[in-house]
Amino acid sequence: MIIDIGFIGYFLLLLGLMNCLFLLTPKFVTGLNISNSILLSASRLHFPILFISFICLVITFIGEDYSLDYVAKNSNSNLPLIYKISAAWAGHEGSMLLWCVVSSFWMLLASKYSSDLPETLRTNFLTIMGVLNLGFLLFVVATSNPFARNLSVPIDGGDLNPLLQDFGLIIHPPMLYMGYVGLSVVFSFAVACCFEKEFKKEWAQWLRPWVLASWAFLTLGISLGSWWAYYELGWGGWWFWDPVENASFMPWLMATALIHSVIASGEKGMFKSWTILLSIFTFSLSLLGTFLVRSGILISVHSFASDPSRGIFILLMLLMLIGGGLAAYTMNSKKFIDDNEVKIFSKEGFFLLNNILLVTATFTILLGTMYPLILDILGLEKISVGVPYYNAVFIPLMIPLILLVGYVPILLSRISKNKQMFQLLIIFLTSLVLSLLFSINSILYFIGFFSAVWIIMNIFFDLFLYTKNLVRLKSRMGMYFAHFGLAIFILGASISENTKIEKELVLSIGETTSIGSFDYTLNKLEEQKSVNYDAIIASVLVSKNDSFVAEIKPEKRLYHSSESAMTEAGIFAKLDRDLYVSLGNMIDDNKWSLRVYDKPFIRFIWIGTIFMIIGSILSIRLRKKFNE
Amino acid sequence: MNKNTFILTAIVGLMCLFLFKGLYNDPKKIQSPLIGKQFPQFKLNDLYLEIPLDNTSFIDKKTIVNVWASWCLECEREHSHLVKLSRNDDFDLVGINYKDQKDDAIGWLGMRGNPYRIIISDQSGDLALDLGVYGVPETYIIDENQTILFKHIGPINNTIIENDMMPLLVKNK
Amino acid sequence: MKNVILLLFLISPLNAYSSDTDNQYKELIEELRCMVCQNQNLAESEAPLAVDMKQKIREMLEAGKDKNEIKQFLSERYSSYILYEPPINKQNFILWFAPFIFIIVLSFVLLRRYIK
Repeated sequence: MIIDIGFIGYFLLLLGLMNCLFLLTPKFVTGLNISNSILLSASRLHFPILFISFICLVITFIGEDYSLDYVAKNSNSNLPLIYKISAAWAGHEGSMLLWCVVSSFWMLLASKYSSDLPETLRTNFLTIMGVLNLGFLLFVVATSNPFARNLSVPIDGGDLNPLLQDFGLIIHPPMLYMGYVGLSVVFSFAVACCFEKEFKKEWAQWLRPWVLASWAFLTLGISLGSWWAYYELGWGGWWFWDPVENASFMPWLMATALIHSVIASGEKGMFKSWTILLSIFTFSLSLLGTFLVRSGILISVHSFASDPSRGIFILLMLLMLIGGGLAAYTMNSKKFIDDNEVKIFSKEGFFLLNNILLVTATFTILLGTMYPLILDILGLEKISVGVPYYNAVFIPLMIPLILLVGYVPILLSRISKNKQMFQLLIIFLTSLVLSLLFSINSILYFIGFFSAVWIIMNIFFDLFLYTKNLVRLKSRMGMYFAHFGLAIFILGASISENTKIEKELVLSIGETTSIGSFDYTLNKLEEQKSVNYDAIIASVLVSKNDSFVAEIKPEKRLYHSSESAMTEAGIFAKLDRDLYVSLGNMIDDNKWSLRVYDKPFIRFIWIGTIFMIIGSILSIRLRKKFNE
Repeated sequence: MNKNTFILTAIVGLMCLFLFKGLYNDPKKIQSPLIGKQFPQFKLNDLYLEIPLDNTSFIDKKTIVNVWASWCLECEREHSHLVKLSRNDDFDLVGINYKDQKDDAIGWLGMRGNPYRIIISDQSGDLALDLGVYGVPETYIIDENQTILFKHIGPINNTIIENDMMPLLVKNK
Repeated sequence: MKNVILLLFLISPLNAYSSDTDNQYKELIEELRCMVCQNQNLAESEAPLAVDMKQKIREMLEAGKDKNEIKQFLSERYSSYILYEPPINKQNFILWFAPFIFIIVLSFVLLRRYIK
């Protein structure tokens, strides 16, 4: 090879590290006019440097440069091109580099859109972002360099974990990282405000779109992850309360709380100190999540390679950032004085309740995730904290929150108290009747169904009857979409969880069995060879009352390079129902074990998250115009 | 420094301390609840003679109880260690043959030598379940009163024998 | 306060009932951990130990044992690590009750500070 791409990539990585030092210029070279412009240029230069470095890594994967240890371990020549590319961020080193790239991207945006801010605030803000970028990049270079060389070059690479050879994986981590790291903008800004000893309304308004954007990416990332687990793991579940899932869910919940409190800070100058504190903790939880995932100290379905030195590095960063952030906050928290007082029966009062519930929910998940570890370290009996715990603690916290969500449109409507009460009563009764008609088999099902209908009815009532004011409607559109999405999600989750049918069975070829209202026939099994795996594909015919409904083709794959068998579920998906078949083991020559799941309305779970994302985008776009 | 933030900082610091300790902690290691408890009651047959065995079949010595099967590859790795241990008269060595075919098990031992004084044949896996067995091989040490002192999951090796097992086996003889 | 009461109400075992063996079996295998897997319950797992355990659970249910007896049977042998629902005991007291304390303290601090 004439040009050594791996070398260029590594060189750029080191150049990026140098560039980070320029970001600190205003702190070392004070009183110099150019120091701020150095900071600005460096903050914009960082992204191109790291992005090209990352492209170099991708090229080494495409070019099968096995002299790089990371490439050799995560790819091989038989891998389809698309997975060769995505393998660049499938392993630890590459994904950490991706993290840095994403972080530099956010810094570029922050640098670009911060020109309205006062000079010192902007300088401090960008410098803190610079420190974060320096920390992340130092972590990559010192402990997880993707461009590290092999001592001896293997002829072919290892393999990309077959679980990860999938479309979901290609976009899940980048989206999740966009969310995690987007919160670093929020963190840096909050700490910079601490130095200013003030959190003005305009600043909160400036901060709001960043929170919303990070939140939208987190939502997308988590939703993709859940969708991926649903069709890839073959168990038909969509959320497992797995430590790694919790790690992404905690910042999401906190960011949700933050979205609301930052509105109050921006519109009325309330909750200033609380919003700042929340911002600091939200990003801290993102980092904690990364630590938990990357250090391998928790047992989880996602088994990442672990290395104590990496863990120590992230832990030190965590300690410095949370410590530094909290110290800056503590020294100045008394200086944040709210412009207005809060009445409990108002939008802001509701935000406060919303925040209390969401933060408690986050705490609960944190406790559940950390508790086994703490017991273990203290030498007590080791326990597992799983679904039953979270159901018992998390769901009760969400119920009052969801009822509040439904009530918001009435709260905001400017109609008379009597009319409000009347409307409330009508909506309450219709929701009650509807829920009683559809969901009678358990309390939890009823509560879920009722709260979803309650939110939707309230939104529609408000849309069609009272909001004639177009400007006001525009400013609320985002909220309505997001809350509607939440309702759709709840509807999907409660219907599918409470009316699903799950069966494990053994069928011989040609045999038919009926499950729920459908008949399933194991039609035939075929073998198929693909580039990097051999597959056995079953054909299961589904019919209802003797008329054909669908052919479902679950697969079992044996990947060549790692000799690992993978189950690829077959899903017949319609808006109102998923029929899900996954192929188990061969019992004898023409008998196979199968898992059949019938999951009504499970699609609504992911459709709901799409609405939430649309809601946050509308919120960023429309509210901005409304302000102008 | 106000009180609330002091508490917050204390919690954060404490958490970091735990996370740090957690880094050097093996999350997969789980202490068996059976340590210090009696060896479970059983009534099963001897692998060779097919005569009934029960708790009275243990003799008045410390005993190594090894769970194995002929289909288990890892058992192969620890077998020579067991043979070596069987030459020591200070303690007894009993096997539990787990979910195996009689002929396979006897053939397997015939090729490699039988280190066990007696072998309890547990084809249903019930005794193994009572012992909290995860898979084969597993090794237990019980004392003269059939109290379980030690459990190891996976094949044993020299380090485990020297550091963990021997002190229990030859202590206060 | 409403939340706290709701929490109290719901923490008490909600799904304690189920009539027939099949349902009990399903609930049980979802609440028990596969000891040899990364993080799967028995229902999801096809590992040999998980298959054996499922068999045993079925036998015990058919012999008339109830859910709690089976859970106790297994946790005596495999430690409470096998239970995805941690038992409420001295050791797990904080786990189960800290959320209450947290929400009360947080409400107190925030409401007192902001609501006039």
